[in-house]
Amino acid sequence: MRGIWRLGLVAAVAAGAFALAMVRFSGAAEEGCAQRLPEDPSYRVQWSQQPSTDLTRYRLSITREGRPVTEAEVCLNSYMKGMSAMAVTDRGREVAPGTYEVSVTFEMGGRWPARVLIAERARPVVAVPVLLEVREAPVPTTSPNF
Amino acid sequence: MTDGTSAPTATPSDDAVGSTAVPVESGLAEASESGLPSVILTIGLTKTYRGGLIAVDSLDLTVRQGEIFALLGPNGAGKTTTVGMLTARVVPTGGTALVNGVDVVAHPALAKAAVGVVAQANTLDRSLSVWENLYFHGRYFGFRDRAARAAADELLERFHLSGRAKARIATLSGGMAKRLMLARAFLPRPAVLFLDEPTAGLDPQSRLALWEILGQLHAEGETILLTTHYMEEAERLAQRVAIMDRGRLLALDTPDNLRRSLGAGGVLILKAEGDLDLLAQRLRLMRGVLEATPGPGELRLRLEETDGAIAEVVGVTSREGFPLRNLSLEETTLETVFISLTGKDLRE
Amino acid sequence: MTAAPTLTPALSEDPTPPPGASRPRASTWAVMRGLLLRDLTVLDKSLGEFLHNTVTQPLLLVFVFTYLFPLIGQGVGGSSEAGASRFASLLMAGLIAQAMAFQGVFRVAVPMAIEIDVTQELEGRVLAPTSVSTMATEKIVFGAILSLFAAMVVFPVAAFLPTTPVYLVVDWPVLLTLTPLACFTSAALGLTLGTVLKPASVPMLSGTLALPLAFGGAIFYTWESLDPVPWLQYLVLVNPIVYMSEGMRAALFTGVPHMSLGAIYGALTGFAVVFTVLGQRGFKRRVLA
Repeated sequence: MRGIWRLGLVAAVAAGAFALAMVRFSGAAEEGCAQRLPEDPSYRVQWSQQPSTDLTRYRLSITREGRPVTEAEVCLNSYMKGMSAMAVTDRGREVAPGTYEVSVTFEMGGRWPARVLIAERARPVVAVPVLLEVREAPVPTTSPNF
Repeated sequence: MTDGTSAPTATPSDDAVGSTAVPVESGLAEASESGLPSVILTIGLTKTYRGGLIAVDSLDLTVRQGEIFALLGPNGAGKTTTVGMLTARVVPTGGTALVNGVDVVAHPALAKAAVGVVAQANTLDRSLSVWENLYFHGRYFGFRDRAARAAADELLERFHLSGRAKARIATLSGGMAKRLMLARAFLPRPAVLFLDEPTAGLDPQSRLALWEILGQLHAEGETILLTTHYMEEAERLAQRVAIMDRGRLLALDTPDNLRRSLGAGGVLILKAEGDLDLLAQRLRLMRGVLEATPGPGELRLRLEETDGAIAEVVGVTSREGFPLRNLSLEETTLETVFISLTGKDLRE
Repeated sequence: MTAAPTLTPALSEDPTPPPGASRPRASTWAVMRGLLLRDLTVLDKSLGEFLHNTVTQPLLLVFVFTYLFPLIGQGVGGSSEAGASRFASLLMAGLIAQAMAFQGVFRVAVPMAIEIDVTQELEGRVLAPTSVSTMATEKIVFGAILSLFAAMVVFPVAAFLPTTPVYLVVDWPVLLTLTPLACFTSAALGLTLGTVLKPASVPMLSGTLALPLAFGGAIFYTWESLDPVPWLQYLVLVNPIVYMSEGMRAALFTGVPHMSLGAIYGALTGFAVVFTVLGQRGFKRRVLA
C-alpha cells in the first residue's frame, strides 16, 4: 500500500473533517421548539379557532386520554407546505387547565403542517403533528372593489 | 490416418482457388505420436458474425506442450479471431476450444488464468508506469503484494527494461512497448503465450530482438502460438506452421515438410521463345520436374530439387529448339507454398 | 541499442514454477482487490485534480447561496432566519446528492469511454483471470467509493463556512443505508453511460446531461415545492438525483419536508438494479465480440 499513501492521508483528513463537522453540527443542535421528537397519539390538540393570517394568538386545548393536560410546557413549530416560510413559537402560556395560549403569526394562507411539542411533567417530551389550514384574511383597502 | 511417416499434409492445387481442408486426423495423430500433451486443442472451431461473415471456418488445431506454433496467413485470414476465441475474448459460434485442458467457452476465467496474450495493439495501462504495469498484472493474477513486486523486479531486469521502470508508457518506443507487453504476458508463467502479429510495425532491430527473446522463452519450456503474415517469422521461429486463409486451415506441418510438399527444388522461371505449351509438355516428361505451368511469356517449372535439374532443363530447352532468353530460380518458401495454395500473396 | 538485447539467464534458485504448472487459481476477491488497488493508485497520481473537483463545487455553491446571498440581501428562503436556515438545510442535502451523483457518474463513465475506444487499455485489463462481470462490478464499487468521498466532503464545507446555521438531526439508520445505496446507484449509472458513450460525445455530456440532471434534481428546492407545477413534478421523477436529494433531507433534517422513505428507497433500489443490469450488459457487449 506504499504507493497510495497520499490517498490514505487525504482519506484520513477527510474522515477527520467529517467527524469534526458532525461534532459541530451536534453542538448547534436544534433547541427548543424545532427538535425532533417521537410522536404520541394519545395526546390530542384542539385549536380554538381556525388559523388566519390576521391573527397573532391562538388557544390550544390539549387532552390526553380524555383528560386535560395541565402544567405542561407547550410550543409550536410549523412550516408552510411548499414554501420556505416557517413559524416557531416560544413557550405557550397556560390560561386555563389544559388550555394554552401561543403567539404565532402565519404570513400566508395555505397549508401549514405543524408539530405541537408537549412536555408534560414526569412524562417524556412528545410531538403531536397537526395540519393547519390557514385562512388568508382579506387586506383592508380604501379603494372600492372591482 | 497417416502412414506413420511425416507425410506432407498440404494439398496444393493448380487452380488458384483455396483448396480443401486438411483432415483432422493427421494433426491429432501427430500430437499423440510425440507423446506430449496438447496445450491447445480446437475441434471444428467456428466464428460466424452477424450478417453472415464467416471469420473462422471449422478449425481443427493441436498445439503440443513446449512447441512454438505459427498461424500464417494474410490479413483477414481469421488468425486474430482464432486467437480471440482461444483467449476468451471472442465467443465462438461453433466447435470447441480447449486451452490447458479447459473449455474456453465454459470456463473463460479459468482459461484466462493459463494464458498470456500479447495483442497487436498497445494494450498497456497508460496511467501506470512500466514497473506498475508488471506489478498490477501480477496482482490481477492473484499474486500477493510481495510476490508481485518480486516478479515485476525480476522481469524488468530480464527484459532489459530496468532503466525505464518509472517511465510513462507513452514514452516507450514500439519495440520496448512490445517487450513490456511480452514481459507482462509472461509474468504469471502461463501455459501458453499467444502473440498476435508480434513484430508488425517494428524496425528490423527490434524484430530481431523480440525473436531472440521468444527463442529464449521457448527454451525455458514455454508453449508459444503466434500469428503472423511474415513468412520469414514463421519459418524462423516456428516448429509447426498452420497456413490459414479466409477462415480455413489450408495446411499444417513443419516448415520443411510444407516446403518439400511443393518441391524443395523451388520454381524455375524460363523465358523462352516458341510455343511454350509445347515446351511445357516436353519438360513435364522430365524426371524431377513436378509441374510445368505456361504463363504469359514465361514458363514456371516446379522442381523436386535443384541439383542437376537446372542444367538438364536448359539442355532440354535448347535441344528442342526453344531459344532461352532468361532464367531465374525462386526458392521455395512458405510464401510460395501459400501462393500455390491460394493464388494470392501473403501481403494482399 | 547497439546490440540486440538478450535475456539474462534465469536465477538458479528461481522459485517460480515451470510454465503452465498449475498454480492456485486466483480468487475473485484477489482479482477484485488487484483491480481496485490499480484504480486507487491511478487516483493517487491525480489527487490534486480529484480534490479540486470534489471540494470546489460544493464550496462555491454553499458560499454563494448561504453566505453571500443572505449577506447582500438576496436571501433565498424568506427574510426570517428560520427560513434562511431551512433553505441552507435543504440545499446542503441537495449538494450532498449532487456530489454523490456527479462524482459517481462521471468518474466511471468518462475513463471507461476512453479506455474502450481510444487507448484499448481495456484489452490489457480484460486479460485478468476473472469474469467480465467481476470487472464491471469493480468499476461500480470504485465509483461508489469516490461518490461516498465526495458526499463526505460536503459536511465540513457546510459546517465550517460562515453560513447561516444548519441544524442537523441525523437519522443514522437511514443515513447509513441510504448513502451507500445512492453511491452505488450513481456508479452503476456511470457504468451504463460509459459503455454506450463515444469518447467524442464526452464534452457534450456535461452540457446536455449534467445541467438537466442538476436543475431537475431537486437540489435547490424540495420536490414537494413543485406542487404548483404538476407536470414538472412528475417529469423529474425519472431523475435519480431527486430521490437522493430527498433522501438526504430525510436522513439529516427534521424541519425539511421530503418524499416518503418508501418512495425514496424503492426508487433508488429500482434504479440501482436497472443500471447495474444495463451496465453489465453494456460492458459485456463492448468487451466481448
